[in-house]
Amino acid sequence: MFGVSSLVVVMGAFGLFVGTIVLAVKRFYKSMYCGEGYLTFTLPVTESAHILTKLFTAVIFELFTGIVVFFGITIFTFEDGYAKAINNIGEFFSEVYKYLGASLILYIIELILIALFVMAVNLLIFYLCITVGQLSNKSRVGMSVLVYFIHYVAVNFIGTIILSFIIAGLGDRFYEWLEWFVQVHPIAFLHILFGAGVIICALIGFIYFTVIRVITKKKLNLE
Amino acid sequence: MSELLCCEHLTKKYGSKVALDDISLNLGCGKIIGLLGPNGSGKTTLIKLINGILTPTKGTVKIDGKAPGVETKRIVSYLPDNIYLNTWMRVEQIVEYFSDFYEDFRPELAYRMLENLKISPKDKLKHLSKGNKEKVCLILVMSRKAKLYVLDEPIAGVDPAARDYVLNTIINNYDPDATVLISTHLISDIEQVLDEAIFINNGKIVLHKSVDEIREENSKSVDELFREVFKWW
Repeated sequence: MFGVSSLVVVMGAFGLFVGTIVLAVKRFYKSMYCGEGYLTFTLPVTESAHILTKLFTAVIFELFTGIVVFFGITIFTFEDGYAKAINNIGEFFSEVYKYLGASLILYIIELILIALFVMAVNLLIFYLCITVGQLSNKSRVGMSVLVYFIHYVAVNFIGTIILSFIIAGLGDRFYEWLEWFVQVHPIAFLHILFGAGVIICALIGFIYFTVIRVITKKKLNLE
Repeated sequence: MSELLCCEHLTKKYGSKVALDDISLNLGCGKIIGLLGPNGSGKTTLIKLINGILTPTKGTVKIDGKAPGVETKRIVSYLPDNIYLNTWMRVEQIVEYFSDFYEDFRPELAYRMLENLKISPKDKLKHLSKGNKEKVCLILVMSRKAKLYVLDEPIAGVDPAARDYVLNTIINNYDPDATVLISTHLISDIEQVLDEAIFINNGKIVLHKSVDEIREENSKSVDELFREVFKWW
């Protein structure tokens, strides 16, 4: 019985996330490249502002969905013992804070930033595919779907190749040094790792955003 | 008088199809100009290029010396030939929306025109008839104190009784220094208000003259000349 209800909760959570993304992507498409686009692109507003507004709103909605899902799952998991669970979490963080100090707060900030940038990048991928799709004179939705699949395959392929070269090229001395560094400075290592994650996500997001902005500015093709 | 709209060798292609073919056009200030042509002649393509919602294949278009962008959108008031507003909004919300984005928008004028046409600001756009939706769109556009008004088929979906009101709205609410570019098929209705006429066909400008010149040189109205010029297309 618990298994069935767990499955329902997990599927509900998944459905909520998927629904939020579908709504966000649909809103972008309708307001930018359908009839509403005539209003959007005749407003005295830059293309950057249009894209960022929609992205910001969508990320906020995803964030709220995440918070709702989190509380929903924890309420379901702990049921009557929810207050006790909150207390236990509080005690857990106190113990961790004694060990990590201010680094705990920094870790939380870094993880939140990574989560926000990952949400933004995922949305920007959809926005990019829709934007490229509108360049076509026919079957724009179909073209957007095709672009999404090409992008998915290309990114995985190129990403695998790049990662393989990096791993192969670094050498044994690097891995020995890395092992030593993780053992001696574990806190600093995590900061570097999370920090690098934030920077890489932000850079990837910036690249996608720039491509969308350039296409919208130079190649707008409203039907 | 400096030119408000300047198109130089403007071309727009969709693959192999040429929608606009090397158009050069200059429009001055303070005139009402008819952009007249049969279906598929390139009127809407030209209008979209002026408003920056299409990008040209070749050539340039400049409004008040600037390429279409944020600055030109501040001074151009555009009425598309389709309902482009958020239909879930109430009329008063759309008026507020326009007030927020356009510095030159005059909400008191918009509300006065809505009252004259008996359209309630509390109504949702989706509950209005097609004709009333088009009237709301026109009211919003003409409530701006723009330098260039671009109206794509402003009276096509409007009942004949309201057409006179629409035309009077256009004449009475535009700044004498502003220019109104009207694309339409209903030439006989609009001819009375036009200063100049542009005939366009197959993406090319066929004629661009003042209405008085057309009447003097051809001893015909603009409508009659249009029917004659495009008789065999």
